[in-house]
Amino acid sequence: MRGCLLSSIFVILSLPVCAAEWHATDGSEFFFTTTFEGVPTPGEFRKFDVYFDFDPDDPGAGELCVRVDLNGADMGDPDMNAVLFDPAWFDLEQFSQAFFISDEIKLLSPGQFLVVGKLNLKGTVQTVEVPFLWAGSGHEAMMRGEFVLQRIDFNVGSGEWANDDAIGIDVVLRFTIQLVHGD
Amino acid sequence: MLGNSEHSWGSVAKFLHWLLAVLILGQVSLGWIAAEARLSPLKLDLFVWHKSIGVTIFLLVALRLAWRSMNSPPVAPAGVAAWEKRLVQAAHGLLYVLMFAVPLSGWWVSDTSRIPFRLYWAVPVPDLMPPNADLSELAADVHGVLITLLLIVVGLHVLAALRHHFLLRNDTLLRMLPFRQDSKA
Repeated sequence: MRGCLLSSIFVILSLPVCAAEWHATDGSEFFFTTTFEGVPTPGEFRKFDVYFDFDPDDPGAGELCVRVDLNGADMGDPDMNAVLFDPAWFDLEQFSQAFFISDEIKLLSPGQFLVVGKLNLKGTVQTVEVPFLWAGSGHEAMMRGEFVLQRIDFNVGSGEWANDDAIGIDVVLRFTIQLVHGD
Repeated sequence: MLGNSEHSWGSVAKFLHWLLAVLILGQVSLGWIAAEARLSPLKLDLFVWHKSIGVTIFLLVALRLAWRSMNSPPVAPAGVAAWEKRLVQAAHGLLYVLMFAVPLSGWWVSDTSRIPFRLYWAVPVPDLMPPNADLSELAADVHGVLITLLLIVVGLHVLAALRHHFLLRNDTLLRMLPFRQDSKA
């Protein structure tokens, strides 16, 4: 219940904060890779929204909001997807959405930026850093990046799964977002 | 003696026979336990063991068949009818076919499923077929039927050995036992 409330607050907050100067279009991809008994195993988040207030010449003024509908998490196998639904994993009945809202965006090198923000996943809020490349002109842009999360920081894979034994702790997230300017 | 003689099995044949007997019975139990277990890290580990041992059994059966092709089995004891010899040949042939077919069908289950697999957590196994849930389920059914058949033929094999020992009173069973010198050698 508290998780639901927190998620609702984030939904409400995310809407006014993100002025959606840029938003994601079809062709955007968000993949995750976990390991299964030591073997990399891919999956994909098929439902997500990206709202991005961003000017590469003034990254500090930018604001990024991402909402991932975890019901769209797909590992390509009905049995594995059913496990994602489970309370020990994403607990989709309680926490169907994950939110990321940026606190700060920095230039790392030309075309390369770092966004630091709060990720709310499964009712747990943690600060995460996500580096990304930005290439765009006028009304179209592409952002791409890769980062690693420790799933146990968010209680994803709890109890007997909260270790590296069968399913790896590190989850690699890879995204390529196609954006259009929204006005 | 490593090789077989006219009346006895050599130590290589004996070793492979008993090693496979232990592995196969253990493997059937392990597979059953893994399949029945609730989803847990242990269940996933048990399946890695089961698949790895299955591949090992397949390779050992190939080795055993190769050794057998270079080493004629000892002759049947006196008094065994020709029809019986043919029946035994067919039964042993079926045992070999099943010892290949059961691991192959297990590999088919694994290959058509989405679950990745490395032999003993180390060696990647080629992924030949695209994942297909329906095919994987069919393969699991085939795997189950073949295991049942294998257990029936192994049961008959054991009964036949006991019949030779207790009813016909010949050395068919004794000559396969390890650490036993051939009385006629």
